[in-house]
Amino acid sequence: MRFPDGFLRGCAPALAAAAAMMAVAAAGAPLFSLPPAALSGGTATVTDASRHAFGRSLTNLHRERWALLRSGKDLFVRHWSTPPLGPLYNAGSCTGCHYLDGRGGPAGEAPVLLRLGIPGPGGTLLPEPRYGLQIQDRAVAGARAEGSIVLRWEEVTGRYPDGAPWRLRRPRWRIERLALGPLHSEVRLSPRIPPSLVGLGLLEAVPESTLRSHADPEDADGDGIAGRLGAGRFGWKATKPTLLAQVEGAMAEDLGLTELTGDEAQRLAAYVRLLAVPARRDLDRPDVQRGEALFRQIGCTGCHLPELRTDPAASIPELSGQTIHPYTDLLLHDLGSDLADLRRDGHPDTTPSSRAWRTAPLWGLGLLGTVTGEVRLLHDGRAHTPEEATLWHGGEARRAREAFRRLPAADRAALVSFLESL
Amino acid sequence: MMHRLTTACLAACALALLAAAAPAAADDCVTFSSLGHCPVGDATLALVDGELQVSNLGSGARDGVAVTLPDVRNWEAGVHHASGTSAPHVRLGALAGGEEISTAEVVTSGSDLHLSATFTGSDGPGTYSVLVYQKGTLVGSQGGVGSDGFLTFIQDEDLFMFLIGFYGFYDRTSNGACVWTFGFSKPLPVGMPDGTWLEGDRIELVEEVGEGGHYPYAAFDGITLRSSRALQITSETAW
Repeated sequence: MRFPDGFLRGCAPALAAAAAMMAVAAAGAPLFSLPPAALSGGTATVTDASRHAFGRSLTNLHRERWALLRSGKDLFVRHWSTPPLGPLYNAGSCTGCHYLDGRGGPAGEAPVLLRLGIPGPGGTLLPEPRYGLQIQDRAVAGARAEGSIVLRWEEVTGRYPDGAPWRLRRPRWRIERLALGPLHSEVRLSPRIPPSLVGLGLLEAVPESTLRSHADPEDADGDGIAGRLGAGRFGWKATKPTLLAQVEGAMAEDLGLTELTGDEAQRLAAYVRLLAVPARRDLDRPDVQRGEALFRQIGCTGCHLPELRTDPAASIPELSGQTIHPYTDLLLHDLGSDLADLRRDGHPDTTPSSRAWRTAPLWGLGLLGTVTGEVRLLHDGRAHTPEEATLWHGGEARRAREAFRRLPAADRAALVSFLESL
Repeated sequence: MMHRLTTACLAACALALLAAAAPAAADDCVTFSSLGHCPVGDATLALVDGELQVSNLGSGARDGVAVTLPDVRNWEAGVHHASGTSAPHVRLGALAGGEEISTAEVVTSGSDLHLSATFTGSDGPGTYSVLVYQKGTLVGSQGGVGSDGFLTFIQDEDLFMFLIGFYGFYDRTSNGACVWTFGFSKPLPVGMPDGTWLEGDRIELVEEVGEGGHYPYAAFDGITLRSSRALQITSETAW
């Protein structure tokens, strides 16, 4: 159709649409030339190592699911307005905390939530009576945010046995301008940075029996590691059993989207489920290979399992029967008092649930800086490097941490190189 | 007749120049068609008689204009290039999050002009289809064009009376492919990448979406238009 002013506009004819939908074989060629150890997500692995590494569709995605992924992506990047956003919330969009499907904001900011709970029966945590499950530090016009989170850092220094110095930073949290009065005297504060979205669909497809087979809550084998099943496998505390539950929780608690009546949560969960895992890199480097061997030797693989297999009958065929390399057992482990949730006075809480954390998957670790612009590790983002994160490990991981500290400097560097290849 | 020309080097050089370009001062920017436009490189912008003039453009398509968009899926502009003696060179870029996600470039090759495109949706080397239209009717197409493929035009001043469009994601194709379009004021001979010749007044360069491993861009937020010759943007819209 020609417009009177000479502009041309037209609709894409069927032939154009058909031409545009030609399958591209090139994406598969470099993938299958990689060694199996590089295929972190099995045949769902992508080779992209750029800023977009976390946001690509599964390499083996069936054509009919592409529209579903795009539909979910639309929701993922949407900036919600009121209604339905709020009245209280922490972020106005998924990308506010997961920019480029990573773990930071669009301007490189480092969002953090402060989860709340008070001890309940049987070691459970109940919502804080006034503020609920977390401090919501943003509010729509006319409402008042629950408070503002203030963070300062304390430097912690030391030396390795070989004399080399190390430096860590310990976070000190404070909540100011509490809108509803003081927190409960027995409140537990749990700072949380955005969790990784890498490979969540594949992790969801790992059979429950696999997790149970690795659990050893009484440390029957005497190796000092006593992984136990959480209520689920998603979230920093393994409280969410499914990806959908994780998404629903984030929508309700982080975005304040409590009144949606459509299929938004399902579409968002589908989007995250269909994201690929980036391939490992630098496998042929001697220091990476040395580091991988050390990772096993000093006991890191006791929790950070190198290999899992997904259910052959997973509901999404692309995710089924995959040998994956997530470096997690998806179990809860005691990581010691330094990483424990906090009491109201800021000191570590000693209860088992406060000290327990789900083993963080390590795949994608080496690309965090590329995607997010900043590397923040552990539940509260206190660690800027894998080395720092390792030095904070305690509890069941203390033995492995001490073995790391005793390594020669070159071996410590090699182990870090291995982690950065993931 | 088979043409082989590697555009990757040109694209890499252009990207390097993109990175090196100093940011424009705020008072050098203008609003045209409700969109913010800032000069790139040594270009100067001026609003004259309802059109945006982009001048002081040197060779190599280093200078031009950057359009800021509010997360759109489609952009279209009417562009008229001034006649001149410098070798024609035009480079367009579509940006998302400050990063170039697709380019289209016209370069001089002897007495011909070569038009090519790049897309970043694929995990690895991507390809695109070329579609040629005459008065709204598809007259020919070729798929599987890689980074070394290009269309050929005989140098003609009318080539530079462009209607340029970049259509992303949903409005032009059913699977979210990105599309560059070029419309001309009169039918022109078009040399396809495979060497065949067609005649058309509109060209579409359509990203081929393999779905598996593809990046689902949801919107873009900028367009850069660089040229070796002064130009006027006579109209512009984004949605």
